[in-house]
Amino acid sequence: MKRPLYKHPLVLFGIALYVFPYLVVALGKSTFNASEFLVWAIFATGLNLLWGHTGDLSFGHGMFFGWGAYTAGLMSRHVAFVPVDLVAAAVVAMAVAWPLAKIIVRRATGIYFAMITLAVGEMFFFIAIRLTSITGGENGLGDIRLGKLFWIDLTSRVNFYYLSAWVAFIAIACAWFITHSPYGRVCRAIQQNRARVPFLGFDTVRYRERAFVMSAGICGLAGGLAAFLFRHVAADTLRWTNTGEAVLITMLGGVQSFFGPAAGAAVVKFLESTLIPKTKYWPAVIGAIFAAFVLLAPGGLAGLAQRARALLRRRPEAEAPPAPPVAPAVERTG
Amino acid sequence: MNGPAVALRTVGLTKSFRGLEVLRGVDLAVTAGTTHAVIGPNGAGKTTLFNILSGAILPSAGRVELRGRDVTGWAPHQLLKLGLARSFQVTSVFPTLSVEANLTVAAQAKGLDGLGERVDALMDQLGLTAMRHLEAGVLSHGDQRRLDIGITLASEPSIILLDEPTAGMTRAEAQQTMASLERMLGGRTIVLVEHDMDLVMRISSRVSVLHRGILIAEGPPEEVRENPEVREAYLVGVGRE
Amino acid sequence: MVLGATGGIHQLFDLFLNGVILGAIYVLLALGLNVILGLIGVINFAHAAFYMLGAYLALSFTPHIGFLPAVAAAAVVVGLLGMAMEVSLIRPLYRRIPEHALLLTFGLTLVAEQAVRWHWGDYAKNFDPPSFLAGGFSPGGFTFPTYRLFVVGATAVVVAAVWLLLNRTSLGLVIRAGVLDAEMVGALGINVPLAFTLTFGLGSLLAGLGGAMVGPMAGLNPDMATSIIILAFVVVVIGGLGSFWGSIVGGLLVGIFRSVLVYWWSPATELVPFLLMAGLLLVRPRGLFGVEGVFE
Repeated sequence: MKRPLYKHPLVLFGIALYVFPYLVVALGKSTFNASEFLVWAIFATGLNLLWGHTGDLSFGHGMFFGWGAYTAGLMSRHVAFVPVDLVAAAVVAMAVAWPLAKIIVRRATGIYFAMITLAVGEMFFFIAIRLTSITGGENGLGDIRLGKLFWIDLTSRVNFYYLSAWVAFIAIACAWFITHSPYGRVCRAIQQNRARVPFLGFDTVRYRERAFVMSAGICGLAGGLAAFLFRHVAADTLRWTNTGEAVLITMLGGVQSFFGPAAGAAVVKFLESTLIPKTKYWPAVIGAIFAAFVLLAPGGLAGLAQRARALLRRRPEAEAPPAPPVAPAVERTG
Repeated sequence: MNGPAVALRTVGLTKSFRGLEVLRGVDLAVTAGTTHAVIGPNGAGKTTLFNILSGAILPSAGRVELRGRDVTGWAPHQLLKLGLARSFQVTSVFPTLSVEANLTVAAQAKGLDGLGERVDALMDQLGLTAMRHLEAGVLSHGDQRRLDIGITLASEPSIILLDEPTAGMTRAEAQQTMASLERMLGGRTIVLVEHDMDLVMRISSRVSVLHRGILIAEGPPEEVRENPEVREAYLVGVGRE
Repeated sequence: MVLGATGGIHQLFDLFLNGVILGAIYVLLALGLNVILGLIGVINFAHAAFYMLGAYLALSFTPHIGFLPAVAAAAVVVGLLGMAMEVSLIRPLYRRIPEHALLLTFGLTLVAEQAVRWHWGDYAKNFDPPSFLAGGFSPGGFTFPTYRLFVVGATAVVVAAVWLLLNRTSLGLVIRAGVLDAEMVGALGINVPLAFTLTFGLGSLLAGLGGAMVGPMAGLNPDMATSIIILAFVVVVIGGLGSFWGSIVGGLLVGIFRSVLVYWWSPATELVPFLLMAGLLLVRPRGLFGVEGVFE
């Protein structure tokens, strides 16, 4: 499908990134908020690189966000060059993810996988709290140095936004190329009909492991960026409640869509920042909206947008596909 | 010299599930390039045999050889790389992927060179080109079945296990399907599980009969059909068609 | 490892008893989760919220109807709430992948936590055990706080009752069969929707009961739910998904190890459950008593 370059989704995304801060400020928020939204957009897209790709829902990916954040923060004290610190964040996150993937992916799928990843994330939280000398324990990690990016002063909010925008663009472009590669095609097949894929010649475990690690890398990158944005890393980022928020955002945006999670991040975080000053029970509102979406619009905002588009074109929309006819369950015993 | 090459062989294949013996000492030899049918009443163990041959489950005892090579216990994706593919009784496609994507991912196993052309050719053979962009889940049952077969063939396997390919079809549909299959599969080794006896007689060169986990007869179709033991098995066997 | 002094043994025993009590609560929670997970195949994130509600309801009911009735009432109310939730919100999700139910109940947990804060306040609350269960006795230097013995005893009784339910009633048979093959159960013509609803009620009741009893031991706070959910999950993983004995052994194991190992290694309380889980995952992924093929 050849399409003019200017219509390529990534190009459109780049343009959106350029325009985004103006929109955010026009809606009453600050440039700082705009950067914050981007951090979550990256996090959610990273999570979705696993969830929306191979179908594995990890409730523990917040731990990679946290690992990335701590790495970036600690690195910043030695190498005052943000891009290097961020790359380190992603690399460390992937390094941690790899052995975990090797252990967990083979042994668990579905809900079991969600439970175990949730528990592993919590475990890292408790470890982090104890390693006070490295992580600052419960107080978190401070003294994170932004330094200068060549001649650009990053303490300016505007400059920081452009840094975030570049990071977001690179991260999401990476995710895009992964998703739209032959590898990505196999992953999506795994999500649709896992049982059949081995019979097509692919080792589903290896594919899922790789997705796990790559998505961890992107979540780590988001964490690194967050460390520089907030100039502080709290151990809480490792907890399942942090992942929970990312899961919520991803689902609200649309698990089956590529840009859905990023859009969801902007919407949810915007909503939160509007609600927080209004009521201290704001998590209940978010939770209720989320539950409503799960029940009524599991395709998220992207799903709703698709339905709206179909209605507008007055074409009979494709019916929700029947429950995937899965190959008869065959067990691999022994 | 030996006779024609044996593409697929099992030696003393046995499988028990928690004490229930489903297959007992099955010795099967499939000559390369032929169509070999495995028949038997329900519960005879045909699906289990297929599951073992395709790597889905492990045998309790015995060997599986692919072109002389011991592949016992190999995983399905490893067997596919050696050219062994299987189809399923229940249509099993990737529902929200397009027809084209379904076939592309299946054809990928053979490599990325000329992927687009191979997929186009396949769609053409299956008569699915007009529907290439439709989601697999919205196709009619018959079209889905053809797509399913396409997925099995996309990796250009040399040995194909067909698990009741005409299940649930009318006589006419079955004939049509088998005719197009014969066209597409010419020259390859096929192991076929089928209940439609006419079909089996027509297209297979050799038939093995499984009854309660044991091979009770084997030979050319006409011979097997006249075999008194086989007739008895079908009359008193567990369940009837 | 110094165990020589008498103080050591007494302290150790104290820790052990504490562990059994903690374990008892975990057993109740895990059992509730497993019963639902086994038959329905759904993880009820709100399980922890029910636990919290049970605690707070017991706190509120006690001044009116007395402690023991309050505990029972709290458990029952939570059970009914569970059934209401199942019928209205979970049932539409059965046709979908199980993760959706997990996500929905996650959202509901957020709501529930705020509801508790709104009604009962943000701060931790004390819940004194009733006078007839207060105090304890200390033969030979080993202390036996009465309330804690009550918790262990009550849990044992409840667990026995659940065992009877599972093994002597038709609902129990359905649950046990469902653990092995949920689809077949439906095919057998059993009134599956009703069985699901009752099972959900049972699971929630167990959570509520656990919460109601834990109040006088550890106090109440609105973070109860989020902190206990992990342990409940870990116990389920260790014991095996959907397993009755797994809930018991897993719960007690985690409780005792958490408690006792603190004597030698202070981070034990937090990390031990995860180390147990990690160890089990490596060696026996389906858990101690897990049934083969469930979620593997």
